[in-house]
Amino acid sequence: MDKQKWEGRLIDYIDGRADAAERAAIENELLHNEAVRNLYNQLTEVIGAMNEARVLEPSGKLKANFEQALQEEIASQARPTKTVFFSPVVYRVAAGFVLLMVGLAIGYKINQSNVEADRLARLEKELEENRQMMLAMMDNQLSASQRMIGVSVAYEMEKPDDEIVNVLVKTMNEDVNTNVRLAALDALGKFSNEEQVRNELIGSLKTQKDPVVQIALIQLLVTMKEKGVLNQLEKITRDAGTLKAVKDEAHAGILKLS
Amino acid sequence: MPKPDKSIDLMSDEKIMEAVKSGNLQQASLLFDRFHKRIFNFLVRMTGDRDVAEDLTQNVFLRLLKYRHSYNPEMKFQSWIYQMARNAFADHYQKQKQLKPANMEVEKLHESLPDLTEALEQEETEKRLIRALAQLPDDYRELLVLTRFQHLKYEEVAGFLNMTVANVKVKVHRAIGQLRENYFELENA
Amino acid sequence: MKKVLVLICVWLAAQTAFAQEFKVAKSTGRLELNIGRVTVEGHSGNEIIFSSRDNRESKDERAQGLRPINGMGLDDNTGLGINVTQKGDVVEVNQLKKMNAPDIKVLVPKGVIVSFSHQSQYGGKATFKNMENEIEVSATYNSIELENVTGPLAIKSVYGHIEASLGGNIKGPISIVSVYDYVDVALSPAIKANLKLSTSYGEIFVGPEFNIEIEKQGNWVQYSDKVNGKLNGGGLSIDIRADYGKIYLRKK
Repeated sequence: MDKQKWEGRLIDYIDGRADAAERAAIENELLHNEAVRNLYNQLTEVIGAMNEARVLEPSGKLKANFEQALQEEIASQARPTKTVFFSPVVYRVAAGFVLLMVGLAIGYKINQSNVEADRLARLEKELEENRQMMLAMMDNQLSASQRMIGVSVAYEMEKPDDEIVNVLVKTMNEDVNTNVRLAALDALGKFSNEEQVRNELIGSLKTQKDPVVQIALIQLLVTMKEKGVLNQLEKITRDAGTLKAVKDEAHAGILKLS
Repeated sequence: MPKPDKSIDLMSDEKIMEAVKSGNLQQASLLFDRFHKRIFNFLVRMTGDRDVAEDLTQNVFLRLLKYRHSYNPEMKFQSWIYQMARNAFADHYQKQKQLKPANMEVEKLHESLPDLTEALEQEETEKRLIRALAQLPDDYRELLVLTRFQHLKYEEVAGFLNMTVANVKVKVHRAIGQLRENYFELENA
Repeated sequence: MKKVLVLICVWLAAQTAFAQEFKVAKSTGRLELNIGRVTVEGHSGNEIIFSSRDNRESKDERAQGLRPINGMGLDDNTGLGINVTQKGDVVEVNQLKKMNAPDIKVLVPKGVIVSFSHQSQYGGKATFKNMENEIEVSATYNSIELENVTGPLAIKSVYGHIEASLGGNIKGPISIVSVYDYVDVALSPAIKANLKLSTSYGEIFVGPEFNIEIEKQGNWVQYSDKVNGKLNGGGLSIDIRADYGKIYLRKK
């Protein structure tokens, strides 16, 4: 047995790089050839061990040291900062470019028929990789559906970063369109395990005036078993300006939480 | 329309580095946030020593500030910073232990490893993995750290190691093969 | 016989006189309808065309020669009981009487985003027909009917029901919400979509033709009576919500 050659083939196989014919050939060999099988088992184990090796956390002083060095470097800069890139004209051009890209993406996306859902899914993946574009979509003041697409891309993410969470929160609290707000709430609900998201949801209950969103938000907080909102729910039931359905939901929430 | 300061955070690494290059130094902090963990982990796996890795990580980001004018915006920022990390690692060993540069000859690191293995309270398999890894030549270890621990694509690695993708793949295969041998020898030891 | 002919002529003349139109040359941008009731239809022209469907029997003789104005400082610049103003890319339509919504019909070109918004209880139905436009509705009391539309749709009414029949080349996202009344949606069961249906106190009815693959809930929160699933492998997003009302999803 040419060990090196077999190692190469088996590693590609484990990595998912083998085509169908190669897979069949290897699987056949695995059934009948014990040496290859042993090699395979050992390779799977080391590759698995590397994949699962933990990511180590540096100590906090690393960041502190860097910030200090950075401030010293800034202080030592003789001339005032020259921010060429962010001069208004350049910025406008850049923004225009982003809008153009977003426009193309949206045009492309909206033109997809349901027959081409595969391509749509792929596009969504591409969009996911490009936060900038997604955030620009969520910022699109012209069209509610474009903002919803932006939010739905965020919804599909495994784990959003702070910036995206902030934009989702802003959308949930301030968007002019109820459907867009609901979509943002939905996305945040998915990420409600995160401490920051949880706090933002609790905070929103105080300021949210859109009855449809209020109802959905109360339901979400109740499912999260968030007892911290009981006082706020009491307030809602006493607020004369609140829609009856919202008050009913708040009552129901109080019953379930206490 | 997003405000400029918000938009910076949405920008590509390359755009931020361009801003740093043109004097907006504060933005380097964003790049630090995005990359320091990856660079630290790369260096921990390469050196087997947390403290050294932290020092070297710090060193990499100082280099970023110092050599900002030499950054070529055509180049992927990730490639650039990994190159600086590799240089930092190579310099470290040249200076401290007067050993040969990182990718020249087989270098046994496992003598310096107890630090890492004990500090981490890992499971037996991970300890064994680290020891097996330490017995690899530096260039093999580096390839495995980049492609397997840090999950970089062969194409990305080929970019800053100045190798062809095919060459990267062959070497990764060899490296895994040798790691496998080391790993199971340690099991029987 | 002559009499009949004369009558027909008079009737025709009256019709033409009443079938007054107001046109705005616009085939892109956004149309904002802040009026109590409306029928909007898609057409292939390049103009937005407004007309009134009111019968004018109740025309006020006393007001002859006078100009109606209202508290918002708007005047009837169309002769239809509405004010139409262009602001950049937006055509804004407001009604003059607070309580008595005129019955307006609007023909819109395909490229115009149509937004309907009405919060007072003095209104009627808003109907949208044969449209490939993006439609946004934000209503409190109005019932909303959508016939043969493709989306994207962002539709909300707090107290009104919503009926939507989707056809043609459907474009997402589709989001339809009523708090107190029912939402009835008809579309092809062959559509590829990510479907979310939710109600708190209502019920959900789905036609047997729809094969919903219910998603695993994973680790995220599921609340109320909620169906989360894919149709035909997933695709465009369809969210339907009726908190106190029923949801009907039927085959078109």
